[in-house]
Amino acid sequence: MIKLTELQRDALAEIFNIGVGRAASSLSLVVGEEVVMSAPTITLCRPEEAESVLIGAEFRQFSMVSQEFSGSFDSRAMPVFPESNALEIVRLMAGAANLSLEELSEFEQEAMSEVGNIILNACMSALADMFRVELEGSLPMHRFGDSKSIIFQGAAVDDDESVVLLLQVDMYISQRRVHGHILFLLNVRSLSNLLGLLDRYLKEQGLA
Amino acid sequence: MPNKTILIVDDSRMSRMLIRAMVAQLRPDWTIVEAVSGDDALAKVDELKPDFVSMDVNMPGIGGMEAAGRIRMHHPAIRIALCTANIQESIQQGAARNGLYFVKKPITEAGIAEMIAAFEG
Repeated sequence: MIKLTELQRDALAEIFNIGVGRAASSLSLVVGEEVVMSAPTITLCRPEEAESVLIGAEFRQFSMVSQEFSGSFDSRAMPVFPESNALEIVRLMAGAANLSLEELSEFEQEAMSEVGNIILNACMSALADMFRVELEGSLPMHRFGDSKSIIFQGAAVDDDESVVLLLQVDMYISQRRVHGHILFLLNVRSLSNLLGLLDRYLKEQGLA
Repeated sequence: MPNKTILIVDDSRMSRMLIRAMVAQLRPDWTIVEAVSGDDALAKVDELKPDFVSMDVNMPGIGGMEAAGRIRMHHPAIRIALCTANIQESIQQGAARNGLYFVKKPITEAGIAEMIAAFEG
C-alpha cells in the first residue's frame, strides 16, 4: 500500500484546507451565518479501515453525497455527515421558512446534495487550481446509509486496488458542531497520478 | 528596512516553507522565524519580539484569531497579518476591526509582497 511522506500529507492537508475554506465561505452565504471549518486531518487507508473510522463515529446513520470526478485522476468523492447533523444543516438552510419535520425531510436530499456539491467543488477546484489540471464532476447523488453501505454501494471496490483518502473536518454553524468526513475513493493508479501532480507542484515551488 | 524579524505562524509545513521562501526572496536581510501553533507563536513572540507576524487562522489549539488578539494586547507595536484560507466576510471584517492585515490563501508572491508592503507602510 502506498504511503504518504510527511510533506505529501502536509501539502495535501493544506490544499484541502484551502478548499474547505472556500466551501465555508460559500456555505456561510447559503445559511446566512458564519461557518467555521477546521483544517482537515488526512489519512490514507483501505476502504475497510475507513469503514471502521465511520463505525467508531458518534452516529450510525449517515447522510451522504457522492460525486464522481474524472480527469488527471479519477475519484469518487463523498462528504458524509451524521444523519441528525444533516437535518440541522437543512434546518439552517431552510432559514425563515417554517417547515414541518416532514417537509424538512423531503427537502433534505436536495439540500444535502447542494451542501455536498459546494464542499466537493471547493475542494476539487482548489486541487485543480494548484495543480493546473481540469477535473470534471458528475451530478451529486444523495443517499442515506450506514458505514458499510456508504463506501461500498455502487462502487467497484477491489480490496487490493482501492484506497480511501479520508479527510476529517469539524464544521461549526451557529455555535453548533457538525462532525463530518470527506472520503475520496481512488484506485491505486489514480492515487499515484494524484501524488505525481502533488510532487510536481512541490518541485515547482522549490519545496521538494 | 534592515534587521526586521518576521514570525511565520502556520501548522502546515508547506505553508511555512512557501512564505519563508517568498519573504527571503523579497527581503533577504530580514530574520525569519517560525511557529507551528498559536501557543507556540505566543511563546516565540515573548522570546523574540518580532516586528511582524504572519498568522494562519485554522490551527489546532488556540486559533490564529485568538493568538493575534493576545499578541495585539501585549505587544501593540507588532504588525500582524492573518494569512488564511478562511476567506469569509466575517473573518475579513474581524481582521479589519482588530487592526490586522488580511492575506488570502493560496499563498502567492503577489499576496506576500502586499503583506510586506502593508507591514512597511
